[in-house]
Amino acid sequence: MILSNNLKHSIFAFIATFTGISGIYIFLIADFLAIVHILLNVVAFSILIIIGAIITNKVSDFKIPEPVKQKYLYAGFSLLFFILLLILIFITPWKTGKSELTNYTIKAIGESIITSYLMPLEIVSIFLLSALVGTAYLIRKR
Amino acid sequence: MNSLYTYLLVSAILFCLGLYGVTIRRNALLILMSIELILSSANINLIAFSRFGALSLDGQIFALFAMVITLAQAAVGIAIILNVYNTFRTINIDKLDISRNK
Amino acid sequence: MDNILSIKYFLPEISLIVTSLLILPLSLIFKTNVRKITIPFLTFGFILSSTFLIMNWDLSGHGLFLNLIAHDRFSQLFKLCLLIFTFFLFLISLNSSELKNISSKEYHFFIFISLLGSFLLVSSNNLLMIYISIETLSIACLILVGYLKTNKSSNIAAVKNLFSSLLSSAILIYGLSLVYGLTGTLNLHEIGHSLSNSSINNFSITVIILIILFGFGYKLTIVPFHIWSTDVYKGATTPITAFLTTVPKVAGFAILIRVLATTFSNANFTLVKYFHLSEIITVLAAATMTLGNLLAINQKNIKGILAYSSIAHSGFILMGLAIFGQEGISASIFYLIMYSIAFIGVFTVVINSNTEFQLANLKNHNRLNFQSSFSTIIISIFLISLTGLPPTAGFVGKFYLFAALIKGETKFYWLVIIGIINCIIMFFYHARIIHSMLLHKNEKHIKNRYDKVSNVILILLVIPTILFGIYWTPLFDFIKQSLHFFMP
Repeated sequence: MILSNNLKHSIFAFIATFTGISGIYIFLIADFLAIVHILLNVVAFSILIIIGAIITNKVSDFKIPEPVKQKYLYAGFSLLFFILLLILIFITPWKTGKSELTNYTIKAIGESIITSYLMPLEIVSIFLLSALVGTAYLIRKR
Repeated sequence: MNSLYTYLLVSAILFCLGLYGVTIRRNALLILMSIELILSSANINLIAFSRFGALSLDGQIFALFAMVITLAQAAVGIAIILNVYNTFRTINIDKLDISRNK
Repeated sequence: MDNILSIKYFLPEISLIVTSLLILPLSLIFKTNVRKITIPFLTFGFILSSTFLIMNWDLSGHGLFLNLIAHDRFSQLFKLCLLIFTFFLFLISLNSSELKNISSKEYHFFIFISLLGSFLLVSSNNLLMIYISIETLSIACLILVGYLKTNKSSNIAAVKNLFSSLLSSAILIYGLSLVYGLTGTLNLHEIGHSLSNSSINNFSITVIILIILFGFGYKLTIVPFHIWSTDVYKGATTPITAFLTTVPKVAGFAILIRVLATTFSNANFTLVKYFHLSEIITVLAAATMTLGNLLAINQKNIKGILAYSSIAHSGFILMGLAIFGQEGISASIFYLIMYSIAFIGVFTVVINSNTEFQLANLKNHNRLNFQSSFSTIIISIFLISLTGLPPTAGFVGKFYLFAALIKGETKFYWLVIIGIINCIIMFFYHARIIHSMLLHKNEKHIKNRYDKVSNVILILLVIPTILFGIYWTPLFDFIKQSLHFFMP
């Protein structure tokens, strides 16, 4: 997804990657989140990206420029950071416990959203409204 | 195989790939996609900790809110990128320059 | 406190939400003379919110909405400051020449949304709330920066702001997820409790703190992020730059103080030693102010100088957080408030002067002739306060910062020396602005565009700058007493 020089290939790889990530969610007993992830990230986000790609490129030509020159430097930097994270992951005493999650999380998530996490839900609705107004303002012609 | 460390490893790989993409890519859409990769790595972390570590659904709810918020931000981001394209006729962020004409 | 009971304490935010939601339909109904309807309405919204804030002023802390939000002295102090600052910025932006010819209803809507986000940010007590409110603040900033859709520099600033704020929030949520994994809870106090009880090794906690600091770093403009933020400050329109250099920064520092105070320090506000937190912050502070100052010298126009100067000031504010303790935090908050007042004042003068002045090269004196003596005197007072010279409040802020650095348990003499050197550099480039305004003043006289509102605002901002430079104890004691965080 990152290394390809063709935007079309990148987008297809992106869809494949994110479908895989939703598979990981299913393994983690997060069925509701897997569905939401497919809906939001795989479908909606890739449609956004495809619209953006169609508008900003000629339809036949999806070539994007080569990566910047110092790409090996940045690759080394990312690798260093990866090693750091690796050490962090294996050295840290993460909190572990016996999970009591059931197979279906939809009911539990719904309950806690309308009880203990009601306030964030309302704030997110205001946030989404402001995103809507902002996008409409930016796209509108004058 | 199905342990906490496997998932943390996957998320660390995704995080670093996303970081690498942000640093080397110059196309605005690809940078947006790379940032999305970093965010989903954080979401995998949250859900994995919620499954193996804590005894509650807090992590899953955090991940749910994070997904929604990220998508809204990406929509605003695409709007900004299209605006930039209308002004500059390019979305290569190195080529944006005040003196450049249409 | 449960959801229904806590609505009483949530009224300031609710009035902000209602006002912001009513702006859009109101300006659609009254198409002619929109400004005459909306501006009194928005002013009413600000006044309503502040009335509720003062009515509910409460000395004991409450945890609202099942401890998601803290209603304590600390958050009330910051809410009041943010409300006053945003009200002033709203009033001065009405007179801006850059925003005259475009639709203003979305601008006001997003000012209110970002104020709401910063209100929630200073009072959030939960990692989820921190994330949501940071995003609410930053999405409003995203759109405000790109507000002039056809302006090239505004567009460049918007795209830079987009990527840097998205990336920093992605890194922030990664760091927060690691904290969640360490402790298994999202509540700040429970996190602090479980961090102090567990045996977590030095290395991992340091890395996690660094990742979180990087996430906050863009809002606070600490060192690795100064490259992006200055481009944004220079490219955005001047009223929005004035907004970005004050409100998100104040809110960001507030939440940093809250996170450090509730999770990484014990009851007496001393940072837990073995985390190396204060060493990290001192290095960041020294690097931030030195780099900001050195880069400010090379700037040509007043907006560039102010952009880098604001970065240098965040370095000074971080200095107080490094030692922490009651002295250090209250010195930082005092400095933060005085910095914001002086910055709003400088930007009021800049917005009211001609656009040529905003972009004029300071070395080219001929283009700066059109300043009146009134604005020269006012801007000199604010710049003296920012530099930190005696009769102003900026001096008191810097004095307290240095005093706290020397008085603390671990002495940071090297940081004091770096700070004093930075004051001298700061004096140099602030003096350049005054100098270029004084030269050739009487050659050409152009009518200045001040209206009554801006004059009143300028005088209202000068009074605290001078007053707290002479008699500062009440405010300082008030800030000290406000360091009271909600503990369940």
